[in-house]
Amino acid sequence: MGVIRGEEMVLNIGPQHPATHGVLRLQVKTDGEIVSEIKPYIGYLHRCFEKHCENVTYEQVLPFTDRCDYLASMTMNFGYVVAMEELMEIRVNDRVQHIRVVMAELQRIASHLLGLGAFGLDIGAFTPFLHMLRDRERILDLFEMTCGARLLYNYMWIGGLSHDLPVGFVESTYKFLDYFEPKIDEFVNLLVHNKIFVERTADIGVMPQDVAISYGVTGPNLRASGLNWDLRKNDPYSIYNKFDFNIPVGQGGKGTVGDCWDRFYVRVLEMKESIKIVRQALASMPKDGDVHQSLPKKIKPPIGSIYRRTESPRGDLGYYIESDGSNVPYRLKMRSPAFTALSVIDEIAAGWLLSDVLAILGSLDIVLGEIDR
Amino acid sequence: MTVDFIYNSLVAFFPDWANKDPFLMISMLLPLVATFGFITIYALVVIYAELKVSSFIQDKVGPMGQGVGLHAGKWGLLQPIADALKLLSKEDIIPSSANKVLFILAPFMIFVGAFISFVALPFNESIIVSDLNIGIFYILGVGSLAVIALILAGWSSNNKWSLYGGMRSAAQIISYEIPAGISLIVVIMLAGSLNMQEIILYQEGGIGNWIIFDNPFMPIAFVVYFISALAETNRTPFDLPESESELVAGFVTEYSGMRYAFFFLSEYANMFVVSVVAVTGFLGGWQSPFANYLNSPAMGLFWMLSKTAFLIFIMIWIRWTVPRLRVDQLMHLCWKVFLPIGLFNIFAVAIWTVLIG
Amino acid sequence: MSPDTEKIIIELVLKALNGDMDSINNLDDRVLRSKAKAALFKAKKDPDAYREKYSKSSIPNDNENNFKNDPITSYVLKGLDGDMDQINAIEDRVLRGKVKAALVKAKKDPKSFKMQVGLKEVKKQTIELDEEKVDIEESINQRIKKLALEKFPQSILNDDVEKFLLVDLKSWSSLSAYLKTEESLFFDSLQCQTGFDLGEGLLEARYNLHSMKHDHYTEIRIQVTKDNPRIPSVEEVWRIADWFERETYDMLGIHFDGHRDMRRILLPDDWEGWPLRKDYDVQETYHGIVIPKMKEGWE
Repeated sequence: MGVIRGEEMVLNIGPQHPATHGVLRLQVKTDGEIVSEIKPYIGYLHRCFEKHCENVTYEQVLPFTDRCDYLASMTMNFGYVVAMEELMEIRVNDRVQHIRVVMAELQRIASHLLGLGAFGLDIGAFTPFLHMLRDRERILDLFEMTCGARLLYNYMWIGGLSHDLPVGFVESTYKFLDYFEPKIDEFVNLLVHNKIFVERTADIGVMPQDVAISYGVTGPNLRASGLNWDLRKNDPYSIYNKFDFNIPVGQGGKGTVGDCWDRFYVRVLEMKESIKIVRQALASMPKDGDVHQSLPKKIKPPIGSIYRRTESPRGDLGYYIESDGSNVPYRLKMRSPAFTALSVIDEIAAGWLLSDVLAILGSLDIVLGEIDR
Repeated sequence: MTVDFIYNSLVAFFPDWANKDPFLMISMLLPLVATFGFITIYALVVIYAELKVSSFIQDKVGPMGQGVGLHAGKWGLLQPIADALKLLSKEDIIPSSANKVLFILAPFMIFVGAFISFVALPFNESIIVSDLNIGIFYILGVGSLAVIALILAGWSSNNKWSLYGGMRSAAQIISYEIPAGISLIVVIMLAGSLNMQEIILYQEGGIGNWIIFDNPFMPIAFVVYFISALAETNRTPFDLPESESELVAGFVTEYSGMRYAFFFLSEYANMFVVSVVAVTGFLGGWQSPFANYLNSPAMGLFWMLSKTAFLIFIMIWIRWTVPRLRVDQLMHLCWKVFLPIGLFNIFAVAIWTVLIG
Repeated sequence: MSPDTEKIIIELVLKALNGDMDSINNLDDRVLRSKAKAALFKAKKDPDAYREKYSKSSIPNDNENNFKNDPITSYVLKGLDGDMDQINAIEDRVLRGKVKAALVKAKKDPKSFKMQVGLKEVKKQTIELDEEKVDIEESINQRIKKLALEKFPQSILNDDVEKFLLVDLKSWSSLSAYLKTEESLFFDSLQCQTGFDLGEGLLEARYNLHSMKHDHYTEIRIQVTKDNPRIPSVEEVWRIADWFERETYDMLGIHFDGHRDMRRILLPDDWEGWPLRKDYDVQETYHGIVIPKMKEGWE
C-alpha cells in the first residue's frame, strides 16, 4: 500500500450531481469539511454557438440564442434584437416595444422563481421549490398562449415580433398578477425569515463591491453587494425609461452586505418590481399597431460592429456583433452573465464548509447553457 | 403477548411435553415473527402517509390511481407495495473496490438495531414482547447500534461521499443521544422506575396525570427529547448524512435494491420506536385521556397507536417545512443549547418535586 | 447625420446649458442621447461662445440664403409654383434658356425635383457641420489617446479613434494598468473580450471597457499575426480577464503571456486546433469517436 495522505482530500462535485445547476464539475480540495480551493471545470454543454452563428443568417441566429439560457429565453432574444436593431438603425413601433417589455418582465419573474426555488432546494427546503414551480407554470401558460412554446420561444424578431398578443392575454395577465402578488409574501414568510435558513445563508460567501466589479459580476449579484447599478435605469434600452420602478439593493438585512441572503432577497424584491412594470406596460399599451410593420425584407446590416448590453435576470447580457455587409454575421460573441458569476466562486467560497459552497453556488443562480454556449 | 404468556398457554395445552426446549423456542420466535410482520405493515402505512402528507403540503396530489391494476390503486394505496416490489427486483450492485463483508453487514446491523428495540415496546397492558425491568435503558442502549452500522456503511463503500455521510452521521447520533437520555432522566425520576409498564401506570387517571403536564419544566423536556429523537433518526432538519442535494445520497450512495430498502426501513422503524418512547414517557402510553372511560385493553391499543401516529405525523410535517442545518450548527445546537437545558431541567424538576410535590 | 438631428442636439444642449437636464435624460434613443451628452460636455467648456454661435437659428434653413448659390434652382422652383414672371424677366439670355430647359425637365416630375433640391441643400449643410460633429463626439477616445500618448509614446496606432483604439502590443500591459488606475478615466470593469480572425494572417483581440464611476465606454483592439499570436495578459488588472482570455485562447489560439493557468476552458484539454479561426478544419477522430464534418448550408 502506498502512503495515505491525510491532509487534503480532492473531491469532485459533479458533473452528475443533484445540486449543480446543470452539468458542472467543481474540483474541491477539502481539509475535513473546510474547503481550501475550488476549480470549476465547464464545457460539458458547449454546443459551438458562436461557430454556428458564422454560418447561418441573422434571422436564423435567433433560435440559437434561445437555447443558450433556456430558463430566460425571452431576454436572450431581447438582447440580440436590441443590438441588431441598433446596428441596422431600425425603429419599431410603440406596441411592439410595450409587448417586448411585458414579455421580458414576465420572463424575469419566471426565471427568479426557478432560481430561488432551486436555491431553497439546495438548502434543504423542499416545499418552496414546488410552490414556486406551480406559480411559474402559470407564466408559462401565458407564454404558450402567445407564441405556442413553453420554454424556447423565438418570439422577438429583428424589427418586430413573431406573433401579436392573442385575445384575452391582457385579462389573463392581470388575473395572474393579482393572484401572484400575495404569493410572494407567503413565500417570504415561509423561507426568508426562517431562522434555520437565515443561519445557513447570512454572512456566507460575502462578495465585496470591488471584487464584484473586477470579476465582472453584474445583475442581482452585484446589486446585492450594495451597488445601485441596473442597465434598465443606467443605460436604458427599449422604453424602460418610461416606467417607474425601484432598484432593490442589498443592505445586509440579516448579516453582512453581499452575503447569500442578500442575493436571495434582492431577487425576491425584484420580482415585486417586475410586477409593477408589467402593470404599467399593460396599462399604457397602445391598442393598435402592427407587430410585423418594421420587419426588414432583407437583413444586411452595414459594415461595422456593435456591442450592446441588456439586463437579463442573471446580469448584463452583451452581444458583440461584427458584420461584413453580407446576410451572415462575421462574428457574434455573447457575453453571458453567468460566465462571470461562476468565475468568482473560487474567490468567495474558499475557506467555508462544504455545505456552504453549495449554498453559495445556488445563490449565484447560474445556468450552464449560458456559460458554455 | 409476552413470552411468558405464550409459554404458559402452550404448557397448559400440551401438558405431556412440558418444559421442553421447543416450547421455549416457539414462545420466543412467535412474538418476533409477529413484530417483524408489524414492522412491515407499519412501513407500508408510513410510506404512504409520508407520500400523501408531503404532497398536500407541497400543493400536489401525490400518487393517485383509479383502481387495482391501474396506476397505483385507488388514491395511490398500492404505491408502497409497488415501491417494495420495485426495490426487490433491482440488481444488487456491490462496487468492486468496496469492502465486501462490511458492505453486506451494514444494512443488517442497522436493521437489527431498530428491530430489537421493538422487543421492549408496550402496545397494551398485556401486549409487550418482553417486559424488561430496565425497559427505557435497554432501548436507549440498543439504539446506539445504528452508529456502528452507519460508519461501516460509509467506510466500506469506498466512496468519498459515503465517507462524508458516514462520518457526519456518526457524530450526529452520538452527540444527540445525550440530550435524549438526559430528558428521559426526569421521567424516570418522577416515575421512580425504568420499567415501561410502570411508567405508564404511574400516569393513570386521565390527562391531568400525564407526566408532560406534571410541572412546567416537563414540556421543555419533551421538546428537547423530541428534537433529539429527530436527530437520532436522521430526519430533516438533521438529515445531513443523507442529504440529497449535497452529498448525492450520503452514506447510501452505493447501495441499491433491497439493501437500500433496509436502511430506510430501519429509519422508519426508528421513528416508531422513538415516538413510542416519547408517548410512554410523556403522554401516558396506552392510558386513555379520560380517566375511566374507554380504557379497555382494545382501546388501550388504539390510544397507543393513535398517539404514536400523531407524533409521526408531526415528524413528517417538520421534514417538509424546514430547511436543514449545517453540520457545525447541528453540533452547536446539541452541545451548547440542549445539554445545558437538559441538565438545568433535572435540577429544576427535582427541586420542584421536593418543594411542591 | 441628418440636419434634424443636429438641430435637436443643439436645442437640447442650449436647454441644458440653462440648467434643464431632463430633456436630455428623457430621450429614448440612446445614440442621440450620447451624442447630446458629448456635445454638452464640449459646450460646457465655454458656454457663452456656444450660445452665441447657435442661438440665432440652429441651422440656416430659409431658402433664400441658400439659393443665392444656385439661381437656376430658385427660378425653376418659382416656375413650378406658377410664377413665370421672374423667369421671363431674366435679362441674360443664356441663363433664361437654361432656366426654361430645366423647368421643362422639372415639370415632368416636380416631386422628385423638389426632393433632389432638398437633398443637395442637406448635403451641403452636413458637410459644413461634419467638421463640427467630428469635433464634438470624440471626447472620450480622444482623451484617452492624448493621455496615453503622453505617458506611453507610440502606444495608440490608429488616427481615427472614433470607434476604437488600436493599441500597440508592447505597451498594452502598462497601458491597461494605467487605464484602470488613472482617476479621470478609471476603467474598472472589463465588459467583454472577444477574439477575431481578420483573415490575411491576422488575429485581433478586442476589449470593451467601461467605467462604473464616470459611466463612459471605450473599445480597445490589439492585432497579432497568426505566426506569433502572443498578447500580454491583463488578468491582474481585471480579474475576469482570467476566464475571458482562456476562452479566447481556446477558440482562437491567442496565447496570453503571464496568465496563471493558460489552458482550454470550453473544449477538452486534448482537443486539437482553434475552432473559431476561419481556416479551421475539425480533427478526424477524438479518442476513437469519428467526428462528422459540418455540412455546408442546410441540406
